[in-house]
Amino acid sequence: MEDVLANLAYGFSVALTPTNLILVAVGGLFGTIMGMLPGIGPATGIAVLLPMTFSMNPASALITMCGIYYGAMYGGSRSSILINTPGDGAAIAATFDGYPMAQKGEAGPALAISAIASFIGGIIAVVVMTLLAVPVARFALKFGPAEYFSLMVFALSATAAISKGNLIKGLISMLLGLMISTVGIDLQSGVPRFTFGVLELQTGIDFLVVIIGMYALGEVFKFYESIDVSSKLRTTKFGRIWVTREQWRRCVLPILRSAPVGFLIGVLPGAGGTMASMVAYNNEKQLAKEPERFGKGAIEGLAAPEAANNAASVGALIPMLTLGVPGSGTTAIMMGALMMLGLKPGPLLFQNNADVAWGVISSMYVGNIILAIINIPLAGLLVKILAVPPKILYPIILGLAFVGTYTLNYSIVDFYLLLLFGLVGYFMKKLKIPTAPLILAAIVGGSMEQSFRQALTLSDGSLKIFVSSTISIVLLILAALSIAYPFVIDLMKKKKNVSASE
Amino acid sequence: MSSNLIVGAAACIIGVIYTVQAFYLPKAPIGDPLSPIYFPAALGIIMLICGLGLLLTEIKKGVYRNKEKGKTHRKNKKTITLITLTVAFGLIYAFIFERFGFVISTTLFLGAILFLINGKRKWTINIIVSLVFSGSIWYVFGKLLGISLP
Repeated sequence: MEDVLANLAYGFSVALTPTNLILVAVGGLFGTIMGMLPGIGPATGIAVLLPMTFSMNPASALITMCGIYYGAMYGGSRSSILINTPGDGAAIAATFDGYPMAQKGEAGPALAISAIASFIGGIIAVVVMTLLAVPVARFALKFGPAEYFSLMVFALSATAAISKGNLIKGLISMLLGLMISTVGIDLQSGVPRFTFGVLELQTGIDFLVVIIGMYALGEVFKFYESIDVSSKLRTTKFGRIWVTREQWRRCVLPILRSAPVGFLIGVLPGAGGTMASMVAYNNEKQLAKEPERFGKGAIEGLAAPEAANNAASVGALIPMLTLGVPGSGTTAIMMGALMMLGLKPGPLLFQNNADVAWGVISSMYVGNIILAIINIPLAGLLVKILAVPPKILYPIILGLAFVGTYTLNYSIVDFYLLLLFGLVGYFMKKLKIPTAPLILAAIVGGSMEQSFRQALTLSDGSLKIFVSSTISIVLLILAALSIAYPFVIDLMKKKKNVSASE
Repeated sequence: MSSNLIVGAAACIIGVIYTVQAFYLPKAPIGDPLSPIYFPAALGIIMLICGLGLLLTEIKKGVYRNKEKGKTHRKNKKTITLITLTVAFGLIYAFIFERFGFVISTTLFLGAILFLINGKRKWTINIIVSLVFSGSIWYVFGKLLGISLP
């Protein structure tokens, strides 16, 4: 316990420097704005704002990115409440009761409770993370190449299985990502693979280009479909943005219950803010004494998912920071950016780069306070951004995507790749193929193949090494279960239908 | 044709092409000469299996007819036009980026996109936004962040 406090104190000494304070505030503000824009979630937000972090040291860069991440979580619900258009998947649940509240003239309390719930959810999750981070990292030190390979197999298969839609499509998306990761010079043998003689491809396809293309360009292309549908902001004037004592009493327990649930879901690979907020919403609906109020402007139906998705965004950082294996698109981008700055997230991060690891954890306490301030007293000012026509905002995002891509490698070839992956992202959305498995696979694919081959070298080519340790066996079983799960659900449904029709 | 059939067929094609390409990869000069090939070959073959799996389940379900009406068709057509033009502008942007420098090429690119999306009637806003955007990005990157742009 004393260790934790000492680490935390050290972390605060990093987080509270004026530069980092400003950065977490700026990141949080930008994240909130990005989160508010329909279709633009934390992943796109970070992808587009990435160049901001290139001239920073790793600690400041990660602090800024985390600010954008949970800023987007705060911001996502603003547009859900006011214009019934969720900023991203995690904010969908906020439309269920948030928008009806705004229609009833309770936009003020709705905006307030979503920020309060986000704040409490975020803080609870950060406390849990503070306590868990080091034990998890210590455990991960036991991992050899075989265990890492199995862990990545689990993370990828879980992501493919959980992402909405059908399992085979998830797997296809994952395989595409792994294929992308094989482009370039093979690190172990020095052989160029799939470069087609293009010099720039020898260093591989930068997964940050893949991400910016799929998330930023893909979203803009997707927006073209609904370009003529305008969702107008009715009012930017609301009463007091605060809640009454009665409203608060209704929300306390749902918030406290939803935060841990959200955190746990966030830690799981593949599941993220979207699933966390849905689960929290359904939980509360089932626990409620008057479930019929849900969907008609029940304030606790807004508070619960908001607490859960913020907690999930903190939880999602754990596998990325402690294991070096991201569990979501957003954390994958953050990891990519850190690797670009020469830092390798993983169990050794807490030993070798304590300033980064603890600085970030501490900054999340500070950041959540700053975001609560941004989102409650300044909410009226912020939502004016929603009045800026999307027909101007989306071209700007397009512009930012190109600039960001160029600053990655100062190479024009990346522009062509950006356009290509923008199209890939659009058509994948169009064909209902989940994109998260591709992104994740593109980023871990390289190290996955390396650990696979290292493990085989250790065992002289015998595949038995993957089942020779308990950790590896458990992870592979989990991977198999996550693949089998959708089939089992299908079977159970069929059985139910059969028995119902008899 | 249902979207799953398209995806399945595409996965099969990608799987076959990738696997064939994988076997033509150069051999490693040291150690097991096939070591750079195992992983890609496995990926290609699994991709083919997934594609076939998707095709078979779809065919078993029975191909259902496409009921898209004229309206969605027209909407689709407009979207495709917009995307095609955006990609075309992007290619031109890539071509002029290093030749004309950041500020000029970005103003032209963003201006073109804005005229496309925001319409010709709001030309003043379009021009102001593209000028302010490229100017301020150039300033922030070049002066504040120390990232050099052409």
